[in-house]
Amino acid sequence: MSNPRSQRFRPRRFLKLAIRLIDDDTYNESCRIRTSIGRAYYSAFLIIKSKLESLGHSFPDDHNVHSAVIDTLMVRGYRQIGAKLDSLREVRCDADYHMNVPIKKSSGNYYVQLSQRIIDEVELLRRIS
Amino acid sequence: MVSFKDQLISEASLLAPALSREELSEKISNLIENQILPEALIQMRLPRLPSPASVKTEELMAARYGKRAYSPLHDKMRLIQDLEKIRYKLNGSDLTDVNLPIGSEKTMQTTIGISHPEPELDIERVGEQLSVDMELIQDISPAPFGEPKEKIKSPRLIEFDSEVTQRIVSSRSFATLIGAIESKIRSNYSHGKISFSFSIRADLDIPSREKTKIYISLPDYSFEEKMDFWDKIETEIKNVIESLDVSEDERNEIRRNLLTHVRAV
Repeated sequence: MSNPRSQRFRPRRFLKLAIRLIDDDTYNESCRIRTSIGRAYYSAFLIIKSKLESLGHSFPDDHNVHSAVIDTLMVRGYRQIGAKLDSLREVRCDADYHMNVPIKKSSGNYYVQLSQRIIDEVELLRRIS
Repeated sequence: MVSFKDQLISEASLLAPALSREELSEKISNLIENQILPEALIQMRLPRLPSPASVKTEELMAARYGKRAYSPLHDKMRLIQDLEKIRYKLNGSDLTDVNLPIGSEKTMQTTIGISHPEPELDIERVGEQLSVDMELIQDISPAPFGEPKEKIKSPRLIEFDSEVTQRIVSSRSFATLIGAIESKIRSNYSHGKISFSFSIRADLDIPSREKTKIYISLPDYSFEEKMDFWDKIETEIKNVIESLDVSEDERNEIRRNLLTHVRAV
């Protein structure tokens, strides 16, 4: 049974957490940079997916969903958003799976900002379409 | 008829009567060779290099039709690169952004009167990205007109990884696509600290699917400038894709598998 709309988790909260966490000295720097990038990606990804679904697109309920969302953006003329989301996804994979890839704080800030930018662009789409 | 040089010597001999005509002639020749010509070469505006994709296509076409001797784009590229290398020696700055093929090294050395043994071809390295170590050239080729003022090493404007290079050679449609994008980049972004790196990457979830990614480095740009640049280059790539003479299915395939990534640094 699904929650009513008002009680649904809002993915933008992931971004808020990412923004706070990346500067929170309570935690180890590498941990918070990597975690922030992951939350920033999921915030943007979930908001875009929801937007595309509201426009009539449907996506598989498996691991292919990430590629499917990006493909839809690239083919439907939203390349500028699609390329940014794909880049964020690539860095999110480095952050979560590739421990040999160093990620600096400046990069972490950049990709958190990028997530905000993607969401802003999607909001703009909402008003246009 | 009195030549310009004779006229110059006559006029100069009035200003320096202690020197013989031969000595004056030699000094004027030295002046032209060591100062006027190098300055002219440095100031000269060279034409744009033809794209590596078009040069490669010409090479493949020539081999196919047995016209090895006639390759105007390749000859043009070598001439421009030789001139660029002379300019590099003259003012110590690399004025070209492209990889220099091994062949131009030899031409340069012949030009400045230095001969070196023919390098052996390393078969293992065929297919790798072509590059020339400028420091090595610096060591073996003394500067013809004095020491370079300053050695500046900047990233190349465009780089292709070995898989992209191989695909350019093996797929005509891919070569056309990359050539068109490369041409846009060279005509619009060949200034400032910008670099583009073309790579083939497997999809993160579907390893059998390969994507062409263009990584863009804009080290001196602010976040907002990077975003503006990203939107601009994506619009240009979109226009290139729309202009291709392909079926709609092929166009969608290209749209899905060609992506840009403006890096954090």
